[in-house]
Amino acid sequence: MQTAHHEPAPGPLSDAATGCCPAPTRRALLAGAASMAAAVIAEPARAAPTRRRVMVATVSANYREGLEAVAREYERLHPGVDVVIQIMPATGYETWLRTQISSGGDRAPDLFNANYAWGMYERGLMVNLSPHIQRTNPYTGKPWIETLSRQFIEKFKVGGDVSFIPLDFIEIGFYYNARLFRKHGCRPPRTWEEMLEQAQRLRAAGVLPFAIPGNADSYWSGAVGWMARFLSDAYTRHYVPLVLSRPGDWDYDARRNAGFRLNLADPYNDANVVTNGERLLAAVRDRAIRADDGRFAELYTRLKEFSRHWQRGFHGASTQTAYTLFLTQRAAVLLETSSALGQIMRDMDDLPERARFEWGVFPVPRMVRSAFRIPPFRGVGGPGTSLGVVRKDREQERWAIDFLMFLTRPASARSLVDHAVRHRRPLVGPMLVPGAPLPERVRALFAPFEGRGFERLSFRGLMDDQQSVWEWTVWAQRYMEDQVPLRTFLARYQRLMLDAVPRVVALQGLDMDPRTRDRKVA
Amino acid sequence: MRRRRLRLGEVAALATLLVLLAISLLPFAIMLLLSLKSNADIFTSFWGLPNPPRWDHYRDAATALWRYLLNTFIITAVVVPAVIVLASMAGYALARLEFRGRGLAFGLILGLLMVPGVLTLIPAFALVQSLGLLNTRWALILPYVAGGQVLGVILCRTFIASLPDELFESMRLDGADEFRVYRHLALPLSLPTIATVAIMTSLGIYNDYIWPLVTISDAALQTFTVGVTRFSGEFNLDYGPTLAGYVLGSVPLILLFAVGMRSFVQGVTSGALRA
Amino acid sequence: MKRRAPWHLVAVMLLPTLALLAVFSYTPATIGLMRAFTRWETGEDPVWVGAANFAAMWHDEFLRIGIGNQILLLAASVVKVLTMPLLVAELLVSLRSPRWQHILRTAFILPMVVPGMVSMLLWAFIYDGSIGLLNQLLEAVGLEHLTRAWLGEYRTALLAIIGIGFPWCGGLALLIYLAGLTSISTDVYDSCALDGATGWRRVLHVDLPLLRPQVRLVITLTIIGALQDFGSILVLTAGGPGLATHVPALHMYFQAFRFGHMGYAAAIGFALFIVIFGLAALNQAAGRKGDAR
Repeated sequence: MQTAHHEPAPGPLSDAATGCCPAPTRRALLAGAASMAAAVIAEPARAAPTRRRVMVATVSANYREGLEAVAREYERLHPGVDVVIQIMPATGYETWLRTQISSGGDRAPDLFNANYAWGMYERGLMVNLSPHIQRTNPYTGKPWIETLSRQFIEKFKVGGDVSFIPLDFIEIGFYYNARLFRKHGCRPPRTWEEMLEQAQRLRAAGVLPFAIPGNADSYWSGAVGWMARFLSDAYTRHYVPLVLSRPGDWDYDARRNAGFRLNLADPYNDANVVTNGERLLAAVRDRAIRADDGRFAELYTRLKEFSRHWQRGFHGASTQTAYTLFLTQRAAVLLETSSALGQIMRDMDDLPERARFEWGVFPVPRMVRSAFRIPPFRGVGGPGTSLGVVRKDREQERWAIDFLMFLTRPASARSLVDHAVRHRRPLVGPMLVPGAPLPERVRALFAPFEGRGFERLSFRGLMDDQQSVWEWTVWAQRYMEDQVPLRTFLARYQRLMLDAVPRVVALQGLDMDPRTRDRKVA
Repeated sequence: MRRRRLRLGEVAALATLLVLLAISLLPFAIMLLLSLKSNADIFTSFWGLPNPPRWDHYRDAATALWRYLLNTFIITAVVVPAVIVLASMAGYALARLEFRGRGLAFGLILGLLMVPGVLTLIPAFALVQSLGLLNTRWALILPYVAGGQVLGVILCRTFIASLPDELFESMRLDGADEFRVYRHLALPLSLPTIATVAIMTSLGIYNDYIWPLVTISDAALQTFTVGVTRFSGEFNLDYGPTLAGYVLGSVPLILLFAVGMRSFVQGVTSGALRA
Repeated sequence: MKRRAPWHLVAVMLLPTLALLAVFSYTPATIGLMRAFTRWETGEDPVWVGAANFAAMWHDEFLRIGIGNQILLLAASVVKVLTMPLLVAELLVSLRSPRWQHILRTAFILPMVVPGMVSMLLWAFIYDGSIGLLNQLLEAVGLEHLTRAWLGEYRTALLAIIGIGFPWCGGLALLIYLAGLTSISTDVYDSCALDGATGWRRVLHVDLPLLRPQVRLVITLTIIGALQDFGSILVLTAGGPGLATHVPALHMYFQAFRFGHMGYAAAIGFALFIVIFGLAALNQAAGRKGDAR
């Protein structure tokens, strides 16, 4: 059972092993939404019957001014159309949306943040955008898909359909204090090993290398959870062929799976293949995938080795604690999401001259020394502002999609970012509009977050089974705190994974036969 | 000589009390102080006065919190009158009416003092779920009314029973029926007790965390106590507005106590609680 | 003289109360007692399993560690309510000026007026490892080496939970002691003064014995409160790091509302009920025995 304060996981089981990223996304967006929460625009005057109205209801306050600018531009191109941008507070957004859409009529929005209301597509309330993304986008003259992120669209397909278009995404990276780095002869590391060597050097000089939030939340949806995920994605990538859908499976797609060869050098190599949830569960059940083998042993040895360079008592640290350590220059590096960019820029501006420092971001560097072949680490991020189209009459849907096409042309993306920067709004993360001409500073800050691909199989507990996540958190924390040895931790980990299998099977109503589709409809 | 020593003792007592008081209240003073400071201001001079004071933090906090506060207010505004009416009527009946099973009825109510929340949390959740009330205000209102009555009935009964019989008899002799006696005699006389019940019920609603946490999943219906644990996430990494939100959330209770402190203290300290 | 009241009147005045209690108090309590003996997963029907849940509790190592923590927390709570509020109450009544007495009493109750959750979140901030108030204070007086993430380390987390509310002066206990002390008649004090029993001698030999009912009440309330309150731990540490601050009531909450094991959680609730009831009864009995002596 998901409790109230856990975000529902997006994406079907067969497409993502853990796939749970909306938590940081939501937190980031909320940062902007809160300040704007009061600004629920009053219902606009009823348009004359001949006028067409396209209503965008979004919680993305960071793009408020940008969306307005793009809307005005669109209206100039189409004098008969009004585009209404409605920025909603995240609190109650989903309820509001459901009532608006289910009551129908022209009060319902045409475009909305689909990643804040999972399950609407399955209920048939949203337009399938799959055929549309192949069409030519009249505002670029190219097929629409070419100015969209194929990766992300694939990752978040619902039953093979495209239900929303992501404008940007959120990803993690290491923020570093360039002043401290220079002073102690450090640089953005190219390898994991170099990162730890430099951490050693910083520590020898009396500087705390890393600020890491490590409370229970962080193991589920924060820094330690991200680390467990990108580490296990790398350490267990060789299992991908094992859990792939095979001919005869209900979700087998020959175009995507036939001829797949695992290539560790290519982070996007397995991005489009279909994996089967029952095969994954069976592999865990039959101990083909196990937590007490040499790979997990090395993974957790290295994670603990890394944790020696985090602040003392990190298990009590919230994201706010870690952020404060970094901003007060007590720690040289902070692991955070791309959504912290805007906050750091703003706080740095507010700080008096003497307390300011230069900073930058480096991506998680790859491991080179290992008993195994460890591919470069991949992203664990998720979609930021993602717009879906509400089902109405054909003509209305056509206009909504047309505006969405306009919004996702490179020049509009540029406009969104420009306005956000100018109005000191938080930035969520890199834009998902290839070829958008972004300002140099923003481009440089976004770069370390991009181009890494995304996790496929990752483990912290088993899938999103809450009991296994909690038990894993307990044992991992005890292991990190030297309360239990590695061997005990891994034995417990293996046992809790095995225990979790029947629970997941029961919860999802699976018959463990990959040929049949038998998931309970939520 | 003896006088002086006594006075010295008193000064020592006063000093000790003031020191303890200062320690007790320090966190709240710091909360007020930091709520007006920007992150940069807090990082560079933690103990310094706000420079400049950021009153906009209060606006931001209010924007993020008003809905939660309103929800708590709505719940309280429904529950408290209901509890007062039910508890005073039942208290009157148990204190002043003769009927078979009176002792049993009172015993049943008194016995509930022995039933802890941990025992009923899970089945009560299942009950509310099976009634289809999850994620509605009723999920809070009905159990709160039911639960709030227990102490209410006991306090009202004890108080009304302690009133002199003659008052009631004379009014009855004047031909008033029982309901009039309740309305025009028992009710006005028990106002201090009722105030105590009202304050304790409000306090209970305001401070309850677990029940709304598990029964209300829609943020738009959520109460302050749960909301305040989440809203700080909305400011991501800003301390000021978060602390401003804590201050704002404390205002309603402070107002309540400013009005009803006396009767609350009386209610708590009266022997009735030991019933 | 009371007359027998007409039934309809009794019904109108009493039935709403009893009906609500039947539905929302007695039904859940009864169900809770029965479901403790079932296997009952969220969304499924309960199945009678006898004492299986209790056997499972016996083997539940998370729960066992939680019980250890709970015993420490309970003992600390009892010590807390028996010392500081009593001290403050004695000091308050020793003040001659009623004005000071009133002002200080009100001031000591002030923290009660702050919503409980706000206090908890403030304590999270006090213990914070970066710019927490406690660390700031330590730094201000030159004790940097003592600063730490108080809730984040295995060795200090439980102590930090116990430290919440320091100096533990105010609250209900203070009010109850004050009521007790002010009800001790001035005659008693006058005769004490004649006997030369003043100051600590009087507190020890006169006040404490006379406060016995109040002490008993405070202990009962503390037992009930300490064994049931897991909200603050949930918010501050979620039982961590590891299991350093885990307690049975929190375990019950996780089992029911995170993992969906309603039957097992009901059994933990049942066990807690027995323990609370037993301890409270023990306390009352011990107190009575003391009274009789």
